Amino acid sequence: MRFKNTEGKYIWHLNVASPVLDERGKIAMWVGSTTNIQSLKEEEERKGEFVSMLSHELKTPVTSIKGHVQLALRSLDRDGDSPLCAKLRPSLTRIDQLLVQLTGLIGDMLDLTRIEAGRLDLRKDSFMLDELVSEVVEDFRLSHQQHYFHLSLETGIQVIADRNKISQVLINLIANAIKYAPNSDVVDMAMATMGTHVLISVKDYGIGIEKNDQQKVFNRFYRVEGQSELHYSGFGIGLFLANSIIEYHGGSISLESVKGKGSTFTVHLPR
Amino acid sequence: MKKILLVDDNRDNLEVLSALFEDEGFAVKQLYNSIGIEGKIEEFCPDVIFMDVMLGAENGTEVCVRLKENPATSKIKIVLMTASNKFQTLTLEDTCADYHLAKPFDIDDVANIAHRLAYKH
Repeated sequence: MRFKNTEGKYIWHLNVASPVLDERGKIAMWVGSTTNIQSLKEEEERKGEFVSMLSHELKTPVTSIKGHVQLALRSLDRDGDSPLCAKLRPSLTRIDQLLVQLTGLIGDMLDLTRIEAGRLDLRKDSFMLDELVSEVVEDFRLSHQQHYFHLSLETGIQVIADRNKISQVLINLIANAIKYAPNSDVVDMAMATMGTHVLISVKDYGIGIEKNDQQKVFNRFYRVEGQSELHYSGFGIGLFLANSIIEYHGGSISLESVKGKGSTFTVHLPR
Repeated sequence: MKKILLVDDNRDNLEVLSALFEDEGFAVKQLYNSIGIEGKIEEFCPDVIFMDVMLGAENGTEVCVRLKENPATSKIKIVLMTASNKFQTLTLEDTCADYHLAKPFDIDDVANIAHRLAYKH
């Protein structure tokens, strides 16, 4: 809450009210406190500005690298039949794919700051969700040709949502399904309407998650402790972001998992 | 031959986009900033301008609005490019541009946009 000070300037305050109960458990009085948190708010704003600037500074060289790599790939496609060109092509293609990954990480970092500040802006529009799911899965089929992506789709499902953000959630869930299932090459996906919601499930046959850890995986920076932490890299923000994005849309993500058998993440998105 | 004017304070981006557009059959001129842009436009007569938003001395959005308000340059198609996330909240109506291009981009997408705008009347 903001209060106006004697100089007419608005200052952020954190207000807390706690009841004090008597021996019968009834409220005897309230104790209230108000704390000036203006400096914290300003710090938060500075952090947001810094991350925003950092993102710009990182994206600028990424744009140039990506451009050079894609120009080189064009030249190879046009007149590169030599053995050297044949060797270069997969490396350049891989660099191009990794740049997409890097751009995604920069975007995640920005979204994290926005969510922390409570101001993730959604650009909602009407679109066919089944077409988006198909597109995302098709991209994974191209980039992960050793995997099998089974997709069961109900078609003609129109939603009003932020297309890019929903795409980001799907990419995150599918990438996790691949990452945490090193001994499996199958990802099962399904999409269907159920009442007022559309359900999109991503099922893997990987390492699974202990019952105790299942709700924690949606927490910011949470990493499952033990062997998984040592074997799988990451910040622990992917599922936090995915869940936050869906919550901003008025939906939720549920999880069913059995340790050692695999996990199913289901997005519940309002229609 | 259709002409493209590139305005970006990043020399790497200028180099990449020049190579791309020349490869796509456009005549290209590069500008490192927007100083004296009106004179350069008069000289080169571009069909499309690809302009970065953060140009140092001037903001590309302000330059875009100025060019669109000037009857001599208002018909030229303008693409504003940026890596800034703050730009995402702006609409084409706010900037008067014909297209907003977020960095990093795929060069095939950029080539498609250039052809579409250059041959659109």
